[in-house]
Amino acid sequence: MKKHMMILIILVIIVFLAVTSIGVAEQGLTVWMKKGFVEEQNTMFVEKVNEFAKEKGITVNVNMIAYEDFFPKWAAAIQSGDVPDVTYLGYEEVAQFQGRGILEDLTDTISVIENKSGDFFEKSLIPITFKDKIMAIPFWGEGMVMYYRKDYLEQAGIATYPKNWEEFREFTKKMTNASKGIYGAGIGYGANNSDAEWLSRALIWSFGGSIFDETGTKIVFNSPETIKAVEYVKSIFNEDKSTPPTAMGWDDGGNNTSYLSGQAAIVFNVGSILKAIRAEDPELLKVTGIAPIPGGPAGSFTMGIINTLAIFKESKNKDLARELLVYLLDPEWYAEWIKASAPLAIPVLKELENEAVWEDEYNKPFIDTMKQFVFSGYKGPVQPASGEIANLRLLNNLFARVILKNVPVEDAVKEFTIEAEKILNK
Amino acid sequence: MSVTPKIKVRKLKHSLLNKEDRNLLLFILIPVVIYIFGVQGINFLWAAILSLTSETTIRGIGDFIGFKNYINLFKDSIYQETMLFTLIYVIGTIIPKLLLGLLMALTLNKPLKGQNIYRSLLFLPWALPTFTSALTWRWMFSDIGGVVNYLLMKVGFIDYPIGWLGTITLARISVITVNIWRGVPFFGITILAALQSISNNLYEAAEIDGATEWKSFWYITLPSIKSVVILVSIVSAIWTIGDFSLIWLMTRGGPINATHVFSTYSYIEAFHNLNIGKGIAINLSIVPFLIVFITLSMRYIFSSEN
Repeated sequence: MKKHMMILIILVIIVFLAVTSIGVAEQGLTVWMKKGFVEEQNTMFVEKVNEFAKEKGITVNVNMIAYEDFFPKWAAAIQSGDVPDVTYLGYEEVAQFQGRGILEDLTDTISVIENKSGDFFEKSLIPITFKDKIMAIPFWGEGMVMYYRKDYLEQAGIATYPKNWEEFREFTKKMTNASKGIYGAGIGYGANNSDAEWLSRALIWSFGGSIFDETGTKIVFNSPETIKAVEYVKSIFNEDKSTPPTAMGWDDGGNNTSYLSGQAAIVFNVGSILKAIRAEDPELLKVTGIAPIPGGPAGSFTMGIINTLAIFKESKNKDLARELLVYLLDPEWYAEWIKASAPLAIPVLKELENEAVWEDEYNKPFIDTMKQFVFSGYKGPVQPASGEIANLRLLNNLFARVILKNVPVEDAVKEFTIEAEKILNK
Repeated sequence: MSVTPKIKVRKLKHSLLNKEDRNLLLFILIPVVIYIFGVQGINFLWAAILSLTSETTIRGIGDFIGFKNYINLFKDSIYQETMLFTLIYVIGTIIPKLLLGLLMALTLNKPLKGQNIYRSLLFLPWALPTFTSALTWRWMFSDIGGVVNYLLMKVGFIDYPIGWLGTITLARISVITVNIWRGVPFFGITILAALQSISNNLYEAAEIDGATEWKSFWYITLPSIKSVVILVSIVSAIWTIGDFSLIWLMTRGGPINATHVFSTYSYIEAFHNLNIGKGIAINLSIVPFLIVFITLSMRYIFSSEN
């Protein structure tokens, strides 16, 4: 009896382990969305998706995920085949993933949306179109601007914000007062820092350098213009010492904290800082100015950021997923969502360009950046290699090596070129 | 001579365990064995197979490339730097933790008023979640409102805030400091337990024989706690080699890969750079070393006991 009882217990344990290890297939949709800086935009998005689910009589599982946490989730999902039905993707990820053939072609869905909600900005479609196929749906754009402290400029006897990089260097040096904890140039190069990666591109382009040539088939990074741009940044850090002490360890929140605390006189960021100032520090808003990124000998550039929603080829509910994407770009709801998110989110639908929210003096520079948007493959088209180079943060590494390890600029540029060529030739 | 003890042990086992007891033993062991081989073993094997595949794959099994991922690791400058810093991190934390832990244990072994309160407070760093400790220290080291810079400026040691996590040397020192702060209580409490198992008769006898405090410490205390000290050092070393949370939360392995340990570099390669094969290879590359290290250590401990 005891023996039979023991065998029975063992069998029960084994069956229990087996059953609990089998995942019960979920009905409905799984949606992964980037968790926005603004809580209202997150809440609105979840509510809209739930509304869709209710209308369709399905269940939906919406995960709002911090951008940094997406990478391990994507890797695990793609490896296992257990992918979400709709996922947020930055346009670099669209380029990388479509290059590996794992994204659904959404050209038809774009047409459906445009018939219903009006045309997309052409710039929002450029970085996600590959051989005439549109591989994601643009959902919002983000533009990087220069935030500057009007009071610090005044104290340093400077009349206006810097319009070019020469003035930037001169003004930030004048405004730096390390004993008071004030630094003119709020630029940082921490690991995985995307703000730095975007700003560095805009700076190098404005000096006339670029990673790719016009055809996108050659790496042309090793040029006198690039070297000049890198040396310029190095001098701000190592000669002028105009940057905060921990800037080389900043993550994406580093420049936000630095500006909001009064440490940095000038930073470069998207609308998150303005949102925070409005919510938490109206006094700081009074002394804050917003302007375009300074220009260089080759002009002024803004690295365009297009955030999208996409569908993996292995999604089990592709038709429903497409319907959701159309539903989310309902013009009335989308206009409200943009209004709640502005200026952090720039609309991708043309008809929203002249909404009242963009007439505000602080918001207007953000929507104006759309006209200057240039993408990671410049001077060529966006491609898997440009997406991968951006996501590997190779530019961050280059500047970190030059600034922290004193690697000669020419050597660092050569090494970058070799790495970029390896990626291009994969 | 060497055979007889084994036979004696076997006979003893048989006389202790009857059929029911053997069945009970099996009943307890089977789920454990199933778990170890079924869950951990299969995962380990799968990971090992993936580490032999091409680094560009992001789904399924890529092309088989043999040990190329491992060979390429040794040419990878970031891997070399990771190896070096992991060694610095382990040695640079174990020795101070051991010395400070011993000091803590010797102090707490004395009859003190409020002893239990001191023990609770001193144990707190180890009891706190890593997340809490790491973020708190990150704030403390911050150049904006960080208490370390504030105090140093207040006493005049520095004129302006230092980037404790912003330069290579300081970032390494900072993470080592936090690891020591967190790890000392573990050493302290474990050594304290060993100290309390030493018979007072030994010390009394030594005192009668005219031994000084130092001689008592050197000839009685240290030999008595030697095995525990070695064991706790090994366990701590293994935990330190596998540390992820502290480094990730404080520095993400930066600046410029200076504070990467194997787990953080592996994470970056596997999940950020989507090089699954290489990411796994980074972690598995230390397994042979760990096996040798643990085997030699255990052998030393057991031979010391004999």
